[in-house]
Amino acid sequence: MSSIRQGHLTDDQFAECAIVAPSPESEAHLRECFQCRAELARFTSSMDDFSRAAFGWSEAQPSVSLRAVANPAPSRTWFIPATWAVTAAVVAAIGIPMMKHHERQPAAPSETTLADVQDDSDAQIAEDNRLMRSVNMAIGVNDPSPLREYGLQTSPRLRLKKVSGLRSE
Amino acid sequence: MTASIIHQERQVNAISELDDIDSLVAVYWPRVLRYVTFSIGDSDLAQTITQDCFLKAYKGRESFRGECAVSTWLIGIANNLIRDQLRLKKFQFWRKASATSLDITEMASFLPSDESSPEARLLVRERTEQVKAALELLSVNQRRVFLLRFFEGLNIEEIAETTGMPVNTVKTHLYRGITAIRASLGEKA
Repeated sequence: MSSIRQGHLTDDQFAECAIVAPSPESEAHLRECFQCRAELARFTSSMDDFSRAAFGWSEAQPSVSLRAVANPAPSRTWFIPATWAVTAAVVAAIGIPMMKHHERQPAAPSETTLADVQDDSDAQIAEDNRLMRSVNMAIGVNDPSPLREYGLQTSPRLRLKKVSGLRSE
Repeated sequence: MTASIIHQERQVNAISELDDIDSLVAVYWPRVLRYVTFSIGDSDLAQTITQDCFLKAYKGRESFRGECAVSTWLIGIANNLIRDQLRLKKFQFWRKASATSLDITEMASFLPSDESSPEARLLVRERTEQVKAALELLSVNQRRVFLLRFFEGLNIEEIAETTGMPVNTVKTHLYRGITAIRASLGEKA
């Protein structure tokens, strides 16, 4: 430790007093030197005030909540398979009954059946014509024709075709 | 009780304390924010660094061995983050701009009011601003060391450990800081 120069603490001695503690030599000097004692006290109190003011400023700053950032939602790696599983279950729940229902329905007429309908046999056509004639006669007996009621004349052949809808054999 | 048992006990207490990040923030945020802000001189960047510090501490809480106080551990993490920032180009402006001031005005207005006279309060206000102005003239590393001593109350060895600086470098920084503050206070004393 350097000796006290010019009757006051050196910079190193002052720093030592401020940082750690005064050495016995510095302590002895401080007891006797009002100027050094006052300067050390001024330094110490200024640092205390500054420290408290800085802490007060810091406390006045808006606080933050880091909980959400620190604990993010658990990883969603399970989410994609789960979504697919739910989708598959919904499709199965709707699709399977629909398929079963569809299987119970009579099959759509095949091309052969349609052809059969379109190409009725002669006997079937004759039977249809007989049925239509009988209906026509029944209508003709009980209900007067609108054409006759309003005085409209049509040829018997045309009338027969329009009203009865007979098919040509 | 041996030192290892003390460490173990402190570790258990600290780990349970570290488990609740919001409580951790509530207790230690002002202290860490103060240190970071006045070290780097940029309150916006300090907010970010402080936030990163707490997140890093929370995620690495299992690594806390209880060998020091939680606050010292947090300040150590903050120091590493500041050092990372110092290495980045974007931080160069602060080191070069000697005239740049902290964006905090009226420091003394944050002092708790006491029963002292208006004259005494005025003197405190003046000295607080003088310390702040003197700190701004120091380098970031000088400020860090100075604040660790006078904000956090760490001794030279603890400062050397937490900053990764040699003990002699820490002493040099401290002496320079003290000399600067003394000069600032002495000019208007």
